[in-house]
Amino acid sequence: MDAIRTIGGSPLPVSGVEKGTSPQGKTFVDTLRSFATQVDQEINGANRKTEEFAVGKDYDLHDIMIASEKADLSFRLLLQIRNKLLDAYQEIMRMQF
Amino acid sequence: MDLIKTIDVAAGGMTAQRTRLNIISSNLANANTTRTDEGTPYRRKTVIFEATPLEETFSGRLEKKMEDPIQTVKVKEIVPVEGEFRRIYDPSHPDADPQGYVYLPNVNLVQEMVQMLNANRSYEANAAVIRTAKDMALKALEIGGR
Repeated sequence: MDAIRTIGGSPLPVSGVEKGTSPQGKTFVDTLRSFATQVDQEINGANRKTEEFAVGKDYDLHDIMIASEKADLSFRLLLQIRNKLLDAYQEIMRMQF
Repeated sequence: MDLIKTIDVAAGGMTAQRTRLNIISSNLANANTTRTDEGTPYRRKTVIFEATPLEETFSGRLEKKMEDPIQTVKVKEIVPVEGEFRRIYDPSHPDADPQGYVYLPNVNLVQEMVQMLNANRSYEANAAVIRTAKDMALKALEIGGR
């Protein structure tokens, strides 16, 4: 019983959460947007590398593959976060009062 | 991201092995070359590798106090190898000396073939690291999937 009280004793600090902002004043959407931009840049970078290689620039083959793999991984991560977000949204929309 | 770092380290290894293969290829191609700019027969070359921290921002490097144990590799130098030239008797050769001897490069075909296999395997090992890092990242992403 004492142990349970220790765990659940102090309330969680929730300051800042009510307004939907993080302590830095950035919303989650901002973070997501900047991440999406970053992923976009990475994909563009990989594409540019491939094109430059195709027209004869001296890249190592594995550098190109790695660039596109990195872009692929970042995109998958973004996709998963987006799926999670959408799931949460739909869950909220399904709420019955 | 940490897995990206793994990939960058392995990529450095792959680049280093590519350079090494280029040098081996040069050695093999010139195994019988008797003329170079230096006026001697071709001299066998070899690469020297050096462990080096990943290229990062200067401040990031300071934060880690330059003690990051994760290091990639880069080609420090390409150096000619000292050693006796092979000497064969062939008076009809245009580059033969007055006694009829021709000096050929100090390239040993067997040695170069072994080096080549070694470079190939190292390259494969680095590729395997990248594959593993990618698999791990995908497994982590599967946590979120349904």
